[in-house]
Amino acid sequence: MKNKFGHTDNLFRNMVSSDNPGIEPNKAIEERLNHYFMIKQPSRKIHMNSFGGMLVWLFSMKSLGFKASLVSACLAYFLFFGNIKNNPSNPGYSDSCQIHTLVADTNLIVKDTCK
Amino acid sequence: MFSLKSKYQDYTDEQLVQLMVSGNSAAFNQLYQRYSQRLLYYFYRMLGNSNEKAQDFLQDIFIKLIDKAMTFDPSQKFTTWIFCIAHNMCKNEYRRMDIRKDVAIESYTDQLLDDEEPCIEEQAVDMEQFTKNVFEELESFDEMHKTAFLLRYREGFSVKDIGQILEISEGTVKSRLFYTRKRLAERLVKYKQAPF
Repeated sequence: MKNKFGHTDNLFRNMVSSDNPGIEPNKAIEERLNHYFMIKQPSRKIHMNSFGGMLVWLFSMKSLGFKASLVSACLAYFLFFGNIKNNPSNPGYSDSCQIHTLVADTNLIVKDTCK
Repeated sequence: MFSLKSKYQDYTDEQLVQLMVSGNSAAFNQLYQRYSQRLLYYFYRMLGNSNEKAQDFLQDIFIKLIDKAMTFDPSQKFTTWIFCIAHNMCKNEYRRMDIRKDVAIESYTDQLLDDEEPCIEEQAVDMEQFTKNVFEELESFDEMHKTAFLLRYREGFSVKDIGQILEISEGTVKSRLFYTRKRLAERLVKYKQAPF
């Protein structure tokens, strides 16, 4: 009986150890696990949204003085440089119709280039 | 990169787990390479030969490994630890699915040990077909016997290790293995091709 026992044992061992049902681990699993591993590490700083922190700071009550000065600087820039550009000697538009007024001649000569 | 890979290949599983706890992703990858195929096969055979389920369970067990790596005791074997987790996952799945299989009656153990295993004539066999028949018959066994069978004959665990994984005594492991072998042999006689 011992021989049969050992024979059966070895048979099952050989058969099962060489069994190959043709399955392999999905490659996507390894990628997901690596990502999960990285996220779980406390020493790594991986943020899902890198702009989130900045937005939170922007609308928080921190550094109000800095924010106020920044806003003031922006307003001053647009107001000041915006006025300089608005120069009456340089009209911002052009008209193809030219009107010439001669002092000596009361006749108004209108040269119309509009066609 | 090649030198790093070869370095971790020489590490033991227990060392790799310790490195993993400290955040070493290469160590985790090495563990994955070592155990992914083995665990996938185990889940595949335990969960009704479902590749889809086996893949899901494979991912889940490695997520558990990442979450619980710090709880691993380096003084114990990593293989028994990971397969203990795998076994518990399968056990929970069986409970969830409420599959009723052949339930071993432990009180019959002594009687079974006295019985001889059936004698099957040695014949030329188609091992591939025979293997297929074995696993078909194995599907009818319950989770307790199936897992003991796979851990013993596929993974090569000792009776002691199987006892640790399944949290049962060595005697119970032996009786389950004997019962499974005996029942398989009885059922496979009908195929008249078992090389016992």
